[in-house]
Amino acid sequence: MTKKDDDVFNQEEERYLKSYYQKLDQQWGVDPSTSEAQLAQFRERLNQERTKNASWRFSWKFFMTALLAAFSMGLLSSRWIMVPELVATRGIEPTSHSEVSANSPPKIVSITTLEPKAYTEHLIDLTKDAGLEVTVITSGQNRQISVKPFLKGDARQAAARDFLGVEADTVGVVTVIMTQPSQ
Amino acid sequence: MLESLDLNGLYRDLVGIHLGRKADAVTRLYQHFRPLVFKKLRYQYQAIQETDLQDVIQEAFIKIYNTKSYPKDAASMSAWVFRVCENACLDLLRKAYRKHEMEWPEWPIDSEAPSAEVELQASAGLQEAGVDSDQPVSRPLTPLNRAVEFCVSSGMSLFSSQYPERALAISLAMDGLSMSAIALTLDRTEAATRQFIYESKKKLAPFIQHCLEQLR
Repeated sequence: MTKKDDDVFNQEEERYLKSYYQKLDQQWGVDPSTSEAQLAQFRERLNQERTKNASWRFSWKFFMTALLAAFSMGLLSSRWIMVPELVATRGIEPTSHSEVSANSPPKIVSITTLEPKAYTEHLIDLTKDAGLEVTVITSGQNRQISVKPFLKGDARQAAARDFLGVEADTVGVVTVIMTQPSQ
Repeated sequence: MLESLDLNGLYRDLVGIHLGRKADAVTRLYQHFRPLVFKKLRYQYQAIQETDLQDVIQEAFIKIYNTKSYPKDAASMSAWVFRVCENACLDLLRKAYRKHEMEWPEWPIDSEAPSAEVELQASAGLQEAGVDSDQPVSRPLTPLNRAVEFCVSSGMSLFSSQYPERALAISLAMDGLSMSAIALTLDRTEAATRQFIYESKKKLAPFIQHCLEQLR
């Protein structure tokens, strides 16, 4: 039995411990290498995982494609559905108003008045029986009035043109921005 | 075992985008690392059953396959594999603890020499086996002498429960593994591992020395 200075156990004790640990490893199921059975089991499990991942990836891709397709279809169909409706709602007169709007630049008239209500009512009176539509948007002290459609050579609309102070050949939409001075 | 592994090639395949190569890399990692990982965890978490542990290790390697956070280089891959497996083991313990299937294990504290109580218990093992400590025990050593084995078993089980990592270090050294492989398993430098094994043996001595004296 030899024992070096830096060794805690002598050779025989080391051999004994080695045998003991080998036995303990056997008892605890510790094996020095991975068996073929264990490897095959792991491969099978990994394959299952890969299949699961692939199907998940496929369904995710499918979902994204379907979403994009539906969105594109919506975009395309909206062009066909929306446009005729737009023309129909604007078509007050036999002449297409949208065409008039497209060909004439918008006219904007700015007015400051102490009596916005009276001004608006007078404008509405003038547009009656003149084939004009008036839209009033009120926001605090201010109003935005949209008058349309002014048509070329329509004598009924001359009074309204005169009141708004626009040229006699004005066509399309005239927007009036009305402000009330603070008192 | 681990020395023959081409870690650079494995790392390239693992972090690459080719799923087939990645699966192959994980399988090779499992094949080479499993014995050491299993041994480490078996010594460290003795409360976990052998079959459960096998399952946890497979699960950990599946996690390695699915993960997107890789080690920064091939050199740190081994330590990373051990860490992932150990975390999977801790998760299992946490789950079992939450389900009240088991008590939370008390992690051993690396204290100094064993108490007198420990030595008494180990001696009791020898007496229980009917061995007079003054009587010499017959040789040869293999097959192990039953009485001495019983005494050593008592001491060793106490030692393993108190110092699982040290028991593992001694066992790995007894297996004849290279110092680099042991260092890799214990996540220490080679010099620190050498010192750790020496100190572990010194710590083990009081637990079994009186049993081994019977061999002289």
